[in-house]
Amino acid sequence: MNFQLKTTIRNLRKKPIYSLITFVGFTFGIAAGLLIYLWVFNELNYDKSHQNYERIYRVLTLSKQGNEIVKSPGCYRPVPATLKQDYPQIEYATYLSYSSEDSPLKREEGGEKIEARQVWVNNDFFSIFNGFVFVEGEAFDAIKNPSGIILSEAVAKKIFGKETALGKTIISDKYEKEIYTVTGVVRIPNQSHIDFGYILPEVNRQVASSSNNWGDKAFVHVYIKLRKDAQINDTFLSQISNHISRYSKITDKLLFQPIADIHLHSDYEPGLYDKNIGSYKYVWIFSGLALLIILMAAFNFSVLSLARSSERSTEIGIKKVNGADRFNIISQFMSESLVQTFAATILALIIIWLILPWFNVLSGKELHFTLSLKLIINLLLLTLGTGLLAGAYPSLFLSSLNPSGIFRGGSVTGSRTGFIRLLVAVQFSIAIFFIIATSLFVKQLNYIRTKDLGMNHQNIVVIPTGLWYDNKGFKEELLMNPNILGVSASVKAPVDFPWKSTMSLNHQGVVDSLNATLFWVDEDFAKTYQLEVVKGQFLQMNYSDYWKERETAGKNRKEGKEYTVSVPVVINETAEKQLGFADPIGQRIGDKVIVGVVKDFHFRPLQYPISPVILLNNPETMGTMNVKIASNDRASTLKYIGEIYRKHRDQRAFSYSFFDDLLNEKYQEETRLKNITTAFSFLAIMISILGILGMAVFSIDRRIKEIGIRKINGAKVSEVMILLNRDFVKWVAIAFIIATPVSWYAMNKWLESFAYKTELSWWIFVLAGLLALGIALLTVSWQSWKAATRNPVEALRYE
Amino acid sequence: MIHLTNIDKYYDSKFQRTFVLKAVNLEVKEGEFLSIMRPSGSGKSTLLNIIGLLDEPSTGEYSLYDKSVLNLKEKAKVDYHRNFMGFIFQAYHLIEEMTVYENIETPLIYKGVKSHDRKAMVADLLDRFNMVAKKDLFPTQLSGGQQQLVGIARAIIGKPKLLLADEPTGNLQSVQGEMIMETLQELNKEGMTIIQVTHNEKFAEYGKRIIRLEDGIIRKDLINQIAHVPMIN
Repeated sequence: MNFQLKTTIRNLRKKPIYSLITFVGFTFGIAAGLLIYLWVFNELNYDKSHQNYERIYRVLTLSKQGNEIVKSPGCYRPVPATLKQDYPQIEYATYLSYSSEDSPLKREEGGEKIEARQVWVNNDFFSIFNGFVFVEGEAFDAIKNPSGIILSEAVAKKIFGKETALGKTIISDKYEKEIYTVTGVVRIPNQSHIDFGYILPEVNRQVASSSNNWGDKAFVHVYIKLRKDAQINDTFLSQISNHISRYSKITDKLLFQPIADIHLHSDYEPGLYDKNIGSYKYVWIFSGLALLIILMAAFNFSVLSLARSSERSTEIGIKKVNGADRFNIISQFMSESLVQTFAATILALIIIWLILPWFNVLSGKELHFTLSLKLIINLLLLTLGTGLLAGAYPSLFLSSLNPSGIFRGGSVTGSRTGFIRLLVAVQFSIAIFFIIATSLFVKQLNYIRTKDLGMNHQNIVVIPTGLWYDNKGFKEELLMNPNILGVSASVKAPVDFPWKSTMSLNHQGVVDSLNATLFWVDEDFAKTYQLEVVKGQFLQMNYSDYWKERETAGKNRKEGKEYTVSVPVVINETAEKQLGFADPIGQRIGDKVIVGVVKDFHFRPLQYPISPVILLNNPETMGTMNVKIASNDRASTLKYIGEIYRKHRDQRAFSYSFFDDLLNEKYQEETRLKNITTAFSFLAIMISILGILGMAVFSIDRRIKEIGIRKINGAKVSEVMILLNRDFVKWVAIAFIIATPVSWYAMNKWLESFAYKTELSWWIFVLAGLLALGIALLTVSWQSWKAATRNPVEALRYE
Repeated sequence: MIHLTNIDKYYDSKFQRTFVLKAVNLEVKEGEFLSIMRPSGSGKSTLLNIIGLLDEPSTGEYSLYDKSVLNLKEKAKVDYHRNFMGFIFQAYHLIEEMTVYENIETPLIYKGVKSHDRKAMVADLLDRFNMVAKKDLFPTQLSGGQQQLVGIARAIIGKPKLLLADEPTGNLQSVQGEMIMETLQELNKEGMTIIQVTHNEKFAEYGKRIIRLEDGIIRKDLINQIAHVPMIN
């Protein structure tokens, strides 16, 4: 065996406690680092499965809304064709036009109906997105068949199970019966922002006949792929920017976003159908946390090596007078840390293999652990980096020791106790930082969960119905069940409704504009969600009134008569304040007439402040039913709702969510951050316990004789323990002083992302400090108790 | 071989200067066996440190083969340690985690001697000191005398010209001590220059020349006429 390795291993075995402490620390650190690496690597590789993804861009629109310029992924359907025609730099251009709600699908022979999201695309789609691999069929044929349907693998599995889907017939009967033949099944990679249930090609009758104009952009996303040699220069970009105005009256500007940036670097409200949008912020935060953990583990080794320096200086002296140069000594200590980190890596790999499923739940990911060359290289770098970081200072310091003390019996002055204490203090301050961060995350999430949203959202079942103007019968039948307390249709559940429109209004001759969210609800919405009407009344208009009004307007227009539609609306207090009417009731905003004001309620997650909202009734938009049920007997109530639903929806599969679950989904990132930080805090605390344990073992070892003498002279156990523990209390106090301002700053920064936030209370800091102190004292006392209760004769025997 | 001229070594504290060595002049010729006698705390370790290039004098000149060795670079010092001098200590200073064999082998590894040659050289020395059977033992499994033999073997394996021995018999019983001294004497006969520090009169007599160091000053320098006839008491 190699000389270096052999002596290294013997050295490690000589003091098993120290070696174990540093080894366990390394294992924790490397395991944490590796987990985060897997996570970060996953995050960084979104939408990269398409060949030459760096040439693929999403076309975004910039539009003026009031005084705001709004960036949006929504685009217009004619954009791809016209772009491709006008710019030779663009090789392919396609759109995804999503249906506004899921459509039913079932196989010809019968079987359960499932719901899937429909999307229309043009012929270029698979030329751009070749990362969507055909597991059945072939792209070229599939896209050319007018009656063809391309299923996602997930949908194909739902309908056909393990059978092949290719060539089979599928029926969709949403409004009228459509018959399709399956021409392909594609696999959508996990790391994709695009998601769909099935694709209808452009040659399909529905797609071809639908208006291909510059209409609503909310449901259309546009992507292009540049030619290989295309230059993206300023001229090209400015031409692109003004492209739309050359074809229409729309003033939107266009810009490109590289497809690989969509997942982490989207600085706009994600599109309706964008999946898994993340944030580079969390990549940085998690990488930072992992680095801190690794740093702590490395410090453990540094601390213990330095602490033992006087013990090892003789050995260094001997080696030096026998011809070892500085490099020999450095490489010896380096190899001690490297041997440990390599062994730790192996153990960490096993641990990760075991806990990955659990971590996937925690992080909401599907991370896989496959040993690729890239992973192995990065793993080696991680191991080497950790080992070198840990060994750097001790080996430099120890190799610099002058061996001149060797004739005096070995011991060398200066074991760098100051530096050691600083390292331990830094370790503890990291642990305190973690405790503070975890406490605050928990506190903020608690705050979110318990904050009064201005509405009562408990026990509300949200059902996507697609019933539109056929809601009435469904509603009435639901209300027959005494356990159903309220039913209201709306465009969506009021969980996160971000889209704003700008309305101009004429106020006493002055033209003004209001940028507000239009939220379509029926007359029972206030009752169901218990919104408080503070002025006027809530929407009273029912469907027949709505149609009557439309009819009159249409008739008058035809006859050339002047007739303004008056749509009754209810606004919230924020809108009222911005409008500034003395009495808002009866005032007009364009064709809308204010009939009431409701108290502000949160229709968006708490990251966002409450903005003006206009509630109005339009039966054509009512795709969602909100059902308030009694808290008792929920299961049978849900069963009842399901039955009624199927009756009204031609036996379609019934799906529902509780409002509270939908709301929680909106805080998923924050919840994950909390979960991962909690796990990391635990690790950080474990590592700092190891660190302080090592320190305690070492410093008590050195004072064994002193303790013996003190005891012989009558010191009580408690006095000895106070003597030994006092020092550590000081370090924790220093750690607390280091950690407090840093945490204060970092946590305030994090809280800034919320419009509504809890306070960073002083007691969080006190709690963290006390917890750290408690942990330190407990760990140290274990050792100092052992030392203090020892028979002093033992300690002094050999002197 | 060794020229020390007007060597002073002192430490300055706030109000006074403490001399460890003062005006030491010493010449050691090749092939000499010099015993430095001293009462404790007379600056012997400082002197050995300076001769062994582990410490620098405050003032004065030190040259080896007429070449000044003051203010040497780290690399040059390591070179001297690897090729020119060997050290023996009172406390043996063997590396506890290494076997006898490995301890002796260590300097050769640092010197960069090839594995095959190392084996031969260590085997030779083990044979010479009758320790072949003990080569795989760890230092703690040996008696003090045997440990010191290993220490000597380690010091001479690199074939140094100069051997610096600090109280080589200090921790040993007299029989074992004599054995060690005889070994040193033999090495000297083979041409190795040896400087030993001791406070044992009897063992000092093994040297061809004895100097007395007191309070950092050489008090006596006498050529030992009866070097080869140890006193019997």
